[in-house]
Amino acid sequence: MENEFFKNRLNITRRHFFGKAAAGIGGLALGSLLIPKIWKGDGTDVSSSPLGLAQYAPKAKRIIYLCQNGAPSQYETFDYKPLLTKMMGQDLPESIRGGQRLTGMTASQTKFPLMGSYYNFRQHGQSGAYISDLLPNIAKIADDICIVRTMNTDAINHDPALTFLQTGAQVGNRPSMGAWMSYGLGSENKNLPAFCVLLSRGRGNGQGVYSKLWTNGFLDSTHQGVVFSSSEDPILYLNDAEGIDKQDRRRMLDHLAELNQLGFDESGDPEIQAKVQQYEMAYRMQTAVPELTDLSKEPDHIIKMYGPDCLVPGTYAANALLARKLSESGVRFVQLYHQGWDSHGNLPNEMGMQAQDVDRASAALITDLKQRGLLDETLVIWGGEFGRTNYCQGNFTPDNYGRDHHPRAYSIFMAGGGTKPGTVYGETDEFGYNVAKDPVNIHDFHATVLHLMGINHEQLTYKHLGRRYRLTDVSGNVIPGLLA
Amino acid sequence: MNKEQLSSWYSILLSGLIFLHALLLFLLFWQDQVNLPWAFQVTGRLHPLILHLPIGMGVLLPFVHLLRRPLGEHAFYLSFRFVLYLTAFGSALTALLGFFLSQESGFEPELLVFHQWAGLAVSWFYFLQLILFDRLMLNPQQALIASILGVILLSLAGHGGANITHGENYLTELLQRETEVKAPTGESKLFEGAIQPILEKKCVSCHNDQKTKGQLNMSSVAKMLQGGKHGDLWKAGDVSNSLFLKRAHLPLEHKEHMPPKGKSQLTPNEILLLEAWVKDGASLDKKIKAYAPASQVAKMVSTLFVSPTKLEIPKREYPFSAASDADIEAVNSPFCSVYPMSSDAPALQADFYVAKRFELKTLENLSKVADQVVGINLAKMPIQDENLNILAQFGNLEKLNLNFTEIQGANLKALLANKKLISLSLSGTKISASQLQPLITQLPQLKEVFLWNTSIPLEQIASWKKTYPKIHWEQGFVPTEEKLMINPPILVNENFFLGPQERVNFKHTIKGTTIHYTLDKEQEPDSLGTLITHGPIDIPAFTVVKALATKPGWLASKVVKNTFYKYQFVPDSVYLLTQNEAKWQAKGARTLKDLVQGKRDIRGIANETWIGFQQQDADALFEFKQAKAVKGITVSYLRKQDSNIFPPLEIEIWAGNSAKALKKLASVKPEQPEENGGYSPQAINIPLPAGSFTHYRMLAKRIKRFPAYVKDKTNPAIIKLDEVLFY
Repeated sequence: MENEFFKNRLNITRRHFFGKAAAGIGGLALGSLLIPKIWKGDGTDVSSSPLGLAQYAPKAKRIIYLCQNGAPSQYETFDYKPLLTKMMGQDLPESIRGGQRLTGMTASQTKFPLMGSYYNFRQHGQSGAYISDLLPNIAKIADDICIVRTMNTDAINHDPALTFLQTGAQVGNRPSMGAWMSYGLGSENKNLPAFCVLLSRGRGNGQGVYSKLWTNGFLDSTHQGVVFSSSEDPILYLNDAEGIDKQDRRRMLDHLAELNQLGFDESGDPEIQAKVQQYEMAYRMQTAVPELTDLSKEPDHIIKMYGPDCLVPGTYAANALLARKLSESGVRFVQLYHQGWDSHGNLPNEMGMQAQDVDRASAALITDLKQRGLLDETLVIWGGEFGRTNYCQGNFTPDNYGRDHHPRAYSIFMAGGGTKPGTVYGETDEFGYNVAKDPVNIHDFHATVLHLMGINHEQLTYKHLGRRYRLTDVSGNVIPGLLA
Repeated sequence: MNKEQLSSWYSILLSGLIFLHALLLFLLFWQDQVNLPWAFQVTGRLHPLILHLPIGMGVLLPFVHLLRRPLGEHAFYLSFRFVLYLTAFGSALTALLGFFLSQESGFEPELLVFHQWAGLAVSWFYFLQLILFDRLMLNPQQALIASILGVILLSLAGHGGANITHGENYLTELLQRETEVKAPTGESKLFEGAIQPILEKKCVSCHNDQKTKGQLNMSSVAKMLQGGKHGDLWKAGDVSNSLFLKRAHLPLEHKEHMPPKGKSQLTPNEILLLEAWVKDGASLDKKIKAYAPASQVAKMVSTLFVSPTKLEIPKREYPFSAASDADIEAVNSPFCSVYPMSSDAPALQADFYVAKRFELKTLENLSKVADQVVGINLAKMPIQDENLNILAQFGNLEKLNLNFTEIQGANLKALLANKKLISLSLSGTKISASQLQPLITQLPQLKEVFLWNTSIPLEQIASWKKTYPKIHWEQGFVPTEEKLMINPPILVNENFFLGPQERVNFKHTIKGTTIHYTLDKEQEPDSLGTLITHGPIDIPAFTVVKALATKPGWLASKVVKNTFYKYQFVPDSVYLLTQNEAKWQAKGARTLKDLVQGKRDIRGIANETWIGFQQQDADALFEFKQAKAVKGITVSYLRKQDSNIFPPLEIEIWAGNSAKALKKLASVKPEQPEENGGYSPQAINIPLPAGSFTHYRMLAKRIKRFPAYVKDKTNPAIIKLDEVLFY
């Protein structure tokens, strides 16, 4: 009896509770109206921005990054500074240097004699951009490219600068640009990795490239850059071993996947799933890659465009051609590194050789994309990790000199993918030492590149070790002046 | 508490009220002469705290009427009276404390006067209401009206007070649209464009025409220059003696710190800019561009004011709705990617990959999403002319890529169905101009056509360019007459010791090249051209092969030089007849027949490829199980004069059919270097007269006398041998 009474009371209370709760919910509802995003997450949450898709209509779908490793001098390429020739040999005014730190290589120098370019400059195209005679083929496509003369970085040595350029942080272990793209936009062609890396070595003073430059960092390892071999067989071990046919391979992979699934069920390690996906990708690559590396369908004059080296595996020209083919086949991010631009001495000669290797093929790649109707959806980036000093390193001789590292202002160029063609963006001071107008730092550069790919750089994040990371970390502004 | 106690409390309260009002009146009359003791000043500061009490009670008062019916008249009367007493007493106390507070300086006089009288009015009003109600001269209805009136009075007084504390526009400022601060440009004056906006944001709320704390008014330049109670705001060029910067640098807790604690503070960058401006002379007219780009001023202006321009992201509307996820998934395959152009648009792009796995069915299947597909990439797929009909279903197609497909052009008119086509890529196809012509005239949206590597003549494209200037015509790369240097031949061989069947093999990656070569030592590299490879090159003995590539229309390549060693027979055994140096032991006698090429020492550590002799000449016996008709012997040796390693003075070859019956067959004197030099592997061919033997002996003699350039002549000359080859 008593029990029933309590139950009854319980019922009443429950009814009351729901009745009151209705009012409470009403309150919550009103509250939620005042905080519009409360049910949506905070907008920067990964889950709110769909992965594998551009957030808004992208200009560029793919990127080919022609990284000129070692830092080509801006004074011999895109930043014309006649004053340096006029003041040749005079000391760099302290007011201009403004306390800029020196590398260990010039720290002991007591004088900083200004050094003009060994190569002449001329204006090219309708844009009238100044480009040096060192790069005659790039000069010919001056109206297709967007030169940025005010890039600046925080680092003064190769490793941190290159790591910063590629991953948005000077210390390692953050995902590389290509890995972010793969993570944010996914793969267009499911038969190829979304992020491919091609390496070549020039004849100038070289600097190393390391796998941390194309790392997936804390992202899933499927986003890691896949390095192609510079041998005749760009992807090794892709052929089935003797005595194994396609069906055997399929059966073997299926069985392997089952075993891996057991492992995954036990440990829950996502890397196991990544591994399974890699096997599947490799299986599909067995069909896709032979078509890629087959050059027999390339028209004859393609060789004249890219230069004869384009058929010699492992050269920059061959990589540029392969990059076009990869990109054309839907590879989201093709990263080239060409070593040999670190001209601390013997600069005119070294840069001459480097330019011979790079100039024709770089211009050809852009022209080639253009004539296939792909340039508007492919962003090509050409440039190094920092610039070089306007003063001479080592012995001062007008036709044989060196230049040290310079982070405050340097030049790169971009083409296609929604960048403004025939543009020269930004100005440096008369000495070319400091940015005078429109600076573009590495974060801005990353933000702009992501924007071109249809991604708000503030919203492509990944939560790791308790905080959300971005390619641009906590800064970066899109530079509207670079957009078409 | 019983009734009597309560009413005695009321009488105490009433007495207190009377006392407070009397005091207030008194103070009001003599307010100019009032000199408050510090304790009163302290209680004055309680005014902002206490004032909430009468406000709360006053607002409660009309609501007490809601209790009239449920409580009954008597209980209501008691309740109302209770609240009214508290309200009246609270008002009076608040007014008094407010008066104490008003004796502090720094309040806007006009605002203060209003607030003071409004506050007094409130406290008198409630006092009056209390008396009337207490004496039953107000019926409950009138009391209700009076209490509503009280609330209005309270609001007025409260608003006046809020104006003093929070500023006059406190309530209204959020209603006013935020005026956008224009980012200063190089043309604007630094003061107007950058300095003043900072001061306006951080200082003017307390130093303006209404409120001039510290007798400082910063609402205009002229008034700023007048300074305040403590003098001029800044001293041009002197940061440390500029008052406002000094104040800004005081610790936040310091009472002279500006802006005061609790107000919005200057940011470090703002302070840096203000300092840089003062340091530069605190000019009011200097334009921003007049400051050096590297100067602190310019840097701070750009960090503070170059606001990220808001990006307009144009969003395109499409006249169709999005396809369902299931449909999109259904048309996707590993060789056909169909995906939305972006997450906010219904438009789809379809890309085909891997020609070998192309199936027409996949293209036909796209009908499920036919309305949504705006881009199709079929480049390199084995698409035939008749397949173009399938594309008719894509009424919204804007971008079509048919590069390097197998179309001949006969059915190109099928694309007329794609009325919205904007971009058409036909590079690398066999279409003709006349087949394309109808598309140009009948596709109204067409904006770009890609025709590189087609048979359409350049003149035709040029004439189209003229006739249809709105269309972008891409003819692509046109090979020029410029002659490029072809790259050199690539050596296929990986091993430089060639056995009986092995040959030298060159290749070239460019089709149609000719490879020229010579084995002639004397021939100059650029005079090659006598010999042309037709397959692998046979060499008789140790030789240097020079080769270059040529192709019509190209400059000849650079010359590549490679050294090859040839052998026909490998001895079964080899014995040393003299003792080699222990430190250059290598693999012992075997070194001479191991067919491993000599390598450079790394960091001076001898490797296993060179066997060295110093105290004795090098003398070795080679043995074949069966007699071999050896035509000649190649001896490869090292030349490294700077380490006293010299070619043998003389090499003798002996032969016979047993170790004891050897006959001298040949002797040669290798060329001796005239000058000093470093590491340089050498070899010499020693032809032998016809004959067939089982045993061969090679004796290499050390030079007897060093050339003049050798400095250290204490020890004998060294011989280092790599290989002895029988050809």
